[in-house]
Parts: sequence; structure tokens; C-alpha cells
Amino acid sequence: MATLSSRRRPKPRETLAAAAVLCAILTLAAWLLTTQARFSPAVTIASLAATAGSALAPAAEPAGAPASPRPPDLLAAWPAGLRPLGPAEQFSPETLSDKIDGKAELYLPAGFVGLRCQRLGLDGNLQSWFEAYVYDMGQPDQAYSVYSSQKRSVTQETAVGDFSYRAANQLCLVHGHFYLELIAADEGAAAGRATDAFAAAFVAATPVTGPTAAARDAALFPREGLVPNSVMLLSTDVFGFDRLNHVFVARYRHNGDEVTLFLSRRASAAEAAELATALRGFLVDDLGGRELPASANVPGVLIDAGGVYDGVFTSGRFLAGVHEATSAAAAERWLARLQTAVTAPPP
Amino acid sequence: MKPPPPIPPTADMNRRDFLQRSVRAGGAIALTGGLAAWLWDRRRPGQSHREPAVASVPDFSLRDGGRPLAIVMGRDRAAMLRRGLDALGGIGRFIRPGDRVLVKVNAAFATPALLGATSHPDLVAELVRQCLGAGAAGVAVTDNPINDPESCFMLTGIGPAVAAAGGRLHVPRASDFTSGSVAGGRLLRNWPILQAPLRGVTKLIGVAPVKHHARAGASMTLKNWYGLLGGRRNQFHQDINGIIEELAMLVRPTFVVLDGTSSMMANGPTGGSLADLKPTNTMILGTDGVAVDAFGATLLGRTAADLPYLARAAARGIGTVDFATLNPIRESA
Amino acid sequence: MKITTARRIAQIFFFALFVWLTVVATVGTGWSQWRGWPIAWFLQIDPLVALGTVLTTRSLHPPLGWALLTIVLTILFGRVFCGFICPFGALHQFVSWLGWRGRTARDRIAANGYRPAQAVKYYLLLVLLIAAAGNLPFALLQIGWLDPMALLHRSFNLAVLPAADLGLERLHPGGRLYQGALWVGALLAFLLLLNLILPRFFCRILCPLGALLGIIGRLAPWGIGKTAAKCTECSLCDVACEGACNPMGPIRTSECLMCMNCLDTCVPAEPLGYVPRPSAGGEITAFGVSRRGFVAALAGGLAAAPLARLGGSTKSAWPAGLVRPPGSVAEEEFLARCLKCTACIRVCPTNTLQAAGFAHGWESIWTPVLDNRIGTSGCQLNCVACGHACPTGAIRPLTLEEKFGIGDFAAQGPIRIGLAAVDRGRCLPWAMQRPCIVCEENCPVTPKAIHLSAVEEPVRDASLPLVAIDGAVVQVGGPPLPPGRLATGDYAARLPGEPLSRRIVANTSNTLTLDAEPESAGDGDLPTDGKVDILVRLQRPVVDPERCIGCGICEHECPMTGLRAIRVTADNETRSANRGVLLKASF
Repeated sequence: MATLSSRRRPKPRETLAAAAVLCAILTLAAWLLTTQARFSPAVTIASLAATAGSALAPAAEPAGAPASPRPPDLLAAWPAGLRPLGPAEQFSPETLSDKIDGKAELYLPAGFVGLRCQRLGLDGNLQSWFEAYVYDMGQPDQAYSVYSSQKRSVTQETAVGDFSYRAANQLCLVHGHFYLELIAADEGAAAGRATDAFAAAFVAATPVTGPTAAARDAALFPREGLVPNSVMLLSTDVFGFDRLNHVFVARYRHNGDEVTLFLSRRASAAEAAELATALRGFLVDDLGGRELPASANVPGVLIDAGGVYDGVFTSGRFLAGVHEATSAAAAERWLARLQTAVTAPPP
Repeated sequence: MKPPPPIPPTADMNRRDFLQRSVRAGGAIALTGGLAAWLWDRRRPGQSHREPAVASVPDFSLRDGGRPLAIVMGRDRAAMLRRGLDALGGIGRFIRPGDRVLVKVNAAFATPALLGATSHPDLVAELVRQCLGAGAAGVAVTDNPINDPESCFMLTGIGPAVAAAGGRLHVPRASDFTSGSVAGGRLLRNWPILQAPLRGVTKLIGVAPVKHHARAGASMTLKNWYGLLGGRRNQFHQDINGIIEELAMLVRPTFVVLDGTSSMMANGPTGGSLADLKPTNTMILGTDGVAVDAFGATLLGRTAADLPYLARAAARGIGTVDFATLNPIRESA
Repeated sequence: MKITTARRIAQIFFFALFVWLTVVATVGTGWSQWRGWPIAWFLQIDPLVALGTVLTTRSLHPPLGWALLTIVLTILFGRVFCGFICPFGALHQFVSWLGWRGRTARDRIAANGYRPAQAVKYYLLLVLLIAAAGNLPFALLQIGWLDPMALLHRSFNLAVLPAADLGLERLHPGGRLYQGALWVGALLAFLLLLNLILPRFFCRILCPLGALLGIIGRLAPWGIGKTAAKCTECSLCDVACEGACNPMGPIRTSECLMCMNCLDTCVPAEPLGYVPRPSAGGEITAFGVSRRGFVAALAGGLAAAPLARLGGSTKSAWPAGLVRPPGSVAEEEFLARCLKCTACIRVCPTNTLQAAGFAHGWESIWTPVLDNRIGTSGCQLNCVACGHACPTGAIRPLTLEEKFGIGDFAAQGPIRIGLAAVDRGRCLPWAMQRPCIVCEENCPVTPKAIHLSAVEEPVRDASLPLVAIDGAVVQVGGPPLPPGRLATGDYAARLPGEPLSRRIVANTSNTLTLDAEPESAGDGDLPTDGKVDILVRLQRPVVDPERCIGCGICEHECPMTGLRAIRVTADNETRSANRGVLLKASF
């Protein structure tokens, strides 16, 4: 056959036809290569089941319960490249622990209203999916409270929503009365971009009444010696005292002093004064502290709580003080600094 | 194999031929595309668009305010039937000239009439004659038995009796069943129902014996409508009271005849021994199947309370369990 | 470049692509896994698949729209699919080349002449298509026996790849087992060996797709033909003619595979060309089909479906063991769609999907059926691979929501493929007083479809004479006990006069240590005679038919390795309206 065929020289038209065949093959190959990157749903589902474990399994529904309507997606329109990997889930105060288990104890006392979650992913990149948790905390203060009280120590500030930071694989932010945690499956840049895109889209698409008024009080803390990311808004049972709520706390480390300062704006000066008395009573009567003699350069009272020192004073509507200072002298120093900061607020 | 056609091709012919071929090819491509667009499946595979049909059996009940219940004592079924019909106002009250009548018998088993598992042929034959005598244009008799239909109609004697009386036997075929639902029902949804013999029918009569039934307690006129169901109806034994209730909702007959001349007291619904039977010498006729069955229960030594489906059917407004309130006329033949 | 060179490149490309698409057909995102590869593409471009399913279902399943491309190519250029694209054709051409390499030109010219037997493929096509053309209960799709794409996929999936992977386990850790692989492989080998009798035997004589393309290809405006009468009738065009279409004489247009070899071998005046007009040597457009043969094929096709269905395999005599993968449509439509291509079987991650043998009815041969003993597990809860692999919609592509019956599918409930039933005569705790409950533990459904019924039963030779009680230690008489035998935590002892049993925590040959002192021990009036009953505490599995989805994981895990003590049948499967077990009540 070879000997027979070798004699012929192809005509130009034949070469053209052969070239057309090869071009068609190349086109097909190109299409195949692009299409193989768009994963089959079977592959996507299997990969998700592998990464997300049993989370994709059907939720146990009580027998005979009427089928609950499917909650809407977290966003009505998805940013380019982002797509939901599953239906949205919705949790009420009664069912919150089904989703986040024991951590519900942190959200429930802070006024938790509802949680919506959804798994989101990038087109064509199954490794970089993330899950968005949108907590409706009812009030901006309460959103800030759960935000601040869980803030990780190593963070990178970001500028989305009212308050936000990125820590390792998660992006956390406060937007009005919403607290969002966007937890990615890995720490890759793609996942980071995806969470940023979702956060921006969520903030843009969700109108809220504005940032918390209380958060500006956090700015009153002295700057010097402040441990980064240590400002928190505690909602209830602050320092174990059941009447003390809605208190900003901040940790300080400066020249060998280690103290916690606290600050709370009350409804009136009278309430602040009454609460200060009650707190003193709690520290002395209930915890067995010893009140130190009053001193001219110490506002309010100073209490020796068994080797650590607590102080409390009021300034107008503010209740403020130090908590667990390592020495009486340090407690005095920081009480004075805090008083200055609170009574002469910066413009 | 034809020899090659001798063609001395010219350039002109070649061009014309190529044009012809091209047009043909273009047409074929267009046709293929059109067919594909027409056949393009926009539904999912396996998806059907069947909407459940509702209320497939017409309402045959009379609401003429006439006497609803008659109880006849005796031993001769034909005489008892005639007596009972007279007590209710005569066959003319129910059957008008020109009516097309369907009689639903119980022919469930291929057993002889004397074992009492099926409607008695004497009774069925007399009923057919009565209807025809009242001027009915035609009387058909049917059932969807549990055993083989042909054998059932033959061995029970119903088939020959009907033919002798001038009626027509309707032996169900697969195509006689169409899907139907009962309005307000929860079990009879889109279920195959023996509807073909009902076509054109103006009067419907049920004829059943009094039988013990291991699952339902008793099988009488309401349970008798089970024979209008097709499909895998044995599933209904998972909720027997529910299905009898829905059968009572589905089928509203002109009147029913409950034959307690002898009653099957045990080993129902098949029986199989004369020892299972007891002469109870009673026939109940009525327009209220619930009341008829409630009385029939007493023949088995039971009360209506022993048969939950009666109260459930009554709660649906189909009849009354308390048959005494209907002032049944009592006769003997 | 010569067109035959382009053809060889195309054939190598498409054959390699075919192998690649079968190799990658395992669920995963690795470079040699499914990802987004269109693993059923060769089936989708197959016009016989499209036409066959259009006839059986009266609709064109959208993924099969690719076949239009092949049809258009064929209408324009003739059977280029056979010559350039078909991987099975390429394989036959290669084997023929190997087999006929050393033969003389005279031998090859003789072998490549037209034979009346080439009409057989038209008869086969006719039988297959007529059988498919009935209305749904009688639509019989059996093209998969001979359709080259389905046949080649099946051969690779069930025989070639698993055999090549034996011992290597590169494609599947643990390897794959396929019942009936021998016959699938033997059929392939047989068809390939036929090339030694006649080059491209399958393509010329058997291939129903080739027949279909031959019919369509008659419309092509261009074709191989003689340009002028300068032909010396040297017959050299037949030396390498793949289709046996007689290019020298009156050419059999519907037999020409567009291999273009004749252009290469035509010497010296080159009267042969690819021309936009009928061959100057004449054309024979008839298929060589005789009237008698046509009528016989027609009758065969007409009779096939009713005869096949007379067995009742889609009606009351349906095979209970024929458990179809989740998403399968109801059996009659399933059989009207399934090609026997085994794509679903190939992608099944657990190997539990098998090609049915004749045991489930000859019509179902090579269709997918679950065999829970063979695979590495049963049907996986979070897997929907088979439906997404199926090119024809015999298995629908599911979402997990639909499979679980949640969200938008809450009203339908979960998809059930069958129902597990405990064989109480074989089950260890039911029949043999041995604790087990492996099936319950492995049930993946939430809440579990298998629950447990706890009982306490006397064991064999259960009553031992009581000798003494010392605290929690009870001394017994009778034959010596195997030490430790009763200490597994599953055994309990009931002392005379005590209503409740107590767990045995240890035993020697003649003592039992209980988990607490018997109540009567403190009373001072210890029983000194009587019998101690030895009891075993058993939990017996009970299946809840409302919850069971028929996945077969319980069956796979059951320790009765031969005939399992819990087995799944297709009863209660949701795809069939008439196979339900439970009374459905709608509220």
C-alpha cells in the first residue's frame, strides 16, 4: 500500500481539505479542554460531600411534619463568578444549636434573632468554597457585641461594613444589626477574593439603619498601652455580676502594668451611680474584696480583690473602672487615665 | 444488481446534477433540523403530566323522601326481595322505563353459591327480572372478583342466572379500569376504578351477602364496593376502615340489598364450609347503605360500634348508623 | 498534505479521545478523572442512538442533539463518520491492516470486492428500528447490541479497562469486578477476529450505524467517483478499499466509508477523485436489500417487541432483583431509553452497579442493576453520578435535593430504589442468638430506616444449678463454662426468685461475676438451690418501609456473606407507580 500511495502528490485542494479536517479536530480539542474545566454536577456534588461530610445529608425532619418552604438564597443576585453550592439554611433561636452547637450560648444572650447560612463557591474551583453565616442580632450594638467578643488576636483590618477584619480563612464583619462570618475551606487567595466579593455584595444589597451608636464609646479608651483587638462589648453578666451589662472592656499592657479597663454608658447619671454602688457591693460583699481607703488622686473606690485590684467610678452617664490590675498603684494610675479620657472626650 | 447506466456526462449535466443534489441535501438538513426542533424534549425524562381525575363515579342516589329501609324475614330470597321492594314503595320507585341498570354483585370468589361467600344467584336473577319488569332498557351485572373473573361468575352460578333472567354479564377487562379519585379522599387518589360498565348507566344497585371479614370485622354492602377497584388494591388492607369509608364516599347507589338469609359467621370473607354459615333468615333493603350494614351487623352478633367504618361513613354524611331512627318497615315473606 | 494522512490523524485522535473519555470516567476532580469531560460524547454524536430513542420515546433527549452534527456531516460528505471519526471503525481498520499486511495485492483486491452479505447490516438496522418504533409498552430499544458506540463503550468499561487495570489498580483501587465480563470481552474479540476473514467485517456487514449512515449518505452532493473514462480498470483502487464499495465499476455509494484510500492507489492517470457529480463509472444507490429479506426483517422487527414483552417482565412478572440505580425512569420507559452502554456502571464509585445478565430477562441484558454483594459498598447516599453519566435520560440527572426529597422536592419524598427485607431465618440475632446489628449501624438514612427490637432470650443449655452466691460472684454447677465466653457484655444471668436479669461481666468455668450484687444477697436468705438462667440480650433489626431507600448498604455489610440476611429487592421503588408496598395516603 505504501508503495502504491507514495507516488501521488496531493493537489492544493486536497491539502486544503486535509487542513480543514485538522482544524476541525483542533477546534474540537479546544472545546473539550474548556468543557472539562466546567465540572459535571455529579463531580461537584461528590466533592462537596467529601469536603463537607455529613452536612449535605438531609436534615432529620420530624415524621409527618409539613414540608417547610425552602428559605431564599442569601443574595437575590450573585456576584460574577460566585454561585451557591446548595440551598440556604435558616435557624431560629430554638434551632441555632443544631447548626453551631455550643457556640449558640454566645449568641442567644446577646439578642440573637435568626441565622441564615449558605455554601458558596467559585465557578470551576471546587477547592475554594466558603460558607456564609449571616446572624441577625436585632440591634447594631448586639451585632457589635458578638463581633467584638469573638475577635481573633491576629487579624488584618478590612474596610467592608461597619467593622470588619480578616483572620486566616475567615472574614468577619458587622453590617447594621447583622454579624457575618464567612468561613472559607482554605486560606487561598481565591477564597479570600470570593469572601470579599460576597461581603461587598451583601452590604450593598442589604439596607440597614446604620452603625452602632455605642461603638463610638469604644473610641474613648486611651490609645496608649491598648492591646490590639482587645476592645470588646460584653452583653451580659460582665465580671460575673448579673446586673452589669452592655460594657466595653479593653486590655492594657504598658510598662509592666497589666489591667483591663471597662466603660459603660448608662441611661442616666443616677443609674450609673446606683450601678457603681451595686458593683462595689458585689465585689466586697459577694466576692469578699476589701475596700481600700479613699485617696485624693483616685476617682471612686478601689478594692483589693485578693491580690488583684478593681476600681469603679462614674462620670456623668458613664460607669467606668479597672478590672484585675496587678497592683494597687497600677490600678490608681489607670483609673486616673481613664477618668481623664472619659470626662474630656476628644472632639 | 442493475448494470451501470451509460452516462456520457457533459459539463452542463454535471452542473445541473450537482445543483439537484445540493438542493436535496439542503432540504434533508432542513428537514432533520425541523424534526429535531419539533421532537426536542423540554420535559425531564419520566415526567408525566397526569392530573388526578376527581369524582369518577356518578351519584345514583334517590333523594325522593321515600322510605329508606325495609327488613324482611323469610327463607325464599326471591320472595323476600319482592316483599322488600314492595315495602319500600315498589320497584317502580327505583327503576323507571328506559333506565339502564348496573347491578354490582359480590362474586369475589370462585366458590359455589351454597357456601355463602358470594351473592346468591337466585337473588341476583330475581333482581334482574324485577328491573326488566319495571321497564329497564337493560340490566348489566358486574364485579371485579379476587379469583379469576370467568370462573367466579360461572362457579357462583351468577353468570348463568343473569343470562337466564335476561341480564347481561360484564366481565371486566384490563381496559375497563380508568384512573379516578374520590373528592375529599386521601387513599383513593388516581386509583384504577372499574368505570367502563358504569358508562350510560342510570341506576346502580348493590347486592351483597352478610359475611364475617377477618380484617374489616364484617363485609356487607359498603365493603362490596371494593369490587369496583382495580390495581394493587390489596394495599388497602393496611387501612381497611379508611378504604371502606372512602368507598362509601365514592359510590352512592340507588339502593342496596343485603342478603342475610344465611350469614357467614366465621372464617370470612371466603368461608369454605357450611359450618361457617348460620341461617339468619333476614334480608335488608335500603337506600342508606350505612343503616343497612348497621342492621346487618346485628345478624353477626355485632353492633355498629364494632365496625368503625360505619361511624366514619356516617360522619361523612353518607347515612346513619342508628337504623332505628329510619323507622324500618319489618315484613316477612 | 494528503487527505488520507488527515484521515489517519483524525482516526488516531478520535480513538485516543475515546479511550481517554472511558479512562477518566471516575468521579473526581483529578486530572485523570471525570471533571467536566463529556464522557458520553461518542454516544451523543451517534445518530443511531438519537434515532432509536426518538422512535421509542417520541422525543429527542437534548444531550443527543449532537447527533445532528453527524447527520449534517453525512448528508454533505457521506460516511465520513465511518472513515474519520468512528473509534470502533479505526480499531477494525487497524486490526484488518495487521491481519492483511503480508497478503498479496490480488488477495486484498479479492477481499475488498463488494459482497451481497453487506446487505445484512440493513436488515439488522431495519429489525432494530422497527422494533423500536412501537408505542411505549411495545417500544423495544435493542440497538445497544450492535451499535458500535454502545458496543465499544461496553467492551471497554466491562472488559478492556478492568482487565488492563488488573494488578495495577490505577483506575480503581481494589480493582473492579463485573459479572459477565467474559462474554462482553469475548464478543469484542470475536468481532475483531472477523477482520481476518474479511477486512472491516463488522463495518461492512454488521454495523447498523453504518447502514443508517449509508442511507443518509446517499444524499451527499459530493462523493468518490471517476472523473473521466480514462480508467484502465486496473483494480488497484480495491487494494485498500475499506468499504468494499467498488470504486472502479459502478460505485456502491452507500458502502463507501470515505477512507479515501482509492485516491492514493489509483494509478497512473488518476481518474478517481472526490467529485461533485455521479461517478463516470456509474453509481449503484440501491442497498442490495432483497424484497424477501426486507419483508422478513420488517416482520422480525414487528414481532420482536410484542414477543419480548409477552414474558411479563415489565408487568406482573417483573424481576424483583432488578434494582435500578436512583433516578431511573419507570421500567418501560427505562428500557425504551437504555442503550446498554454501561456509562453508569463505569462511573459508579462503588462498583455496585453491574451489567445485568440474562437472569433478569434477555431484554435487560447489560442494563444497569445493583448487586450489593459485588461492590465496595451499596449505593452511596451523596452520589448522583450514574444519572449524570447517562446519555439518554434512562437515569435522570438528580440533584441531592431531589434524591433526598427535600426543599422543592419535599412533596415527592426521597427516591427509593427498593426495599430491604430481613431474612429472619438467616439473620444472626433473629435466628442464631448472636448479637450483630451491623445493618442498623450502617443505614445511612436519617432517621435510620432500620431500627432495633430488643429481646432477652435464654441461651442453649441455659439453666445452671446455683451453688453459692458471694457478693456479685455467683458459683454455678453443671458442665464447665468456657472462661470469658459470657463476658462479652451481651449475656445476663437471672437468679432464682429474681424477676430481673443482671449483666454478666466475667466468667470462669464455674463462676459468673455480675455487674452488681443481687438484691437478695443482703437479705441473709440467699437461695441455695434452684437454677441460674443464662440469657443473651439481642437487638433484632426491623426495617421501616417508609424510610428505607433501598441503597443496599445494609445488604453489603451483612456478615452472612453468601446469601445475605438482609436483602434489597425493587419492591416499593418510587419510579414505578405499581410497585409500591405501602398504602399511600395523602392528606
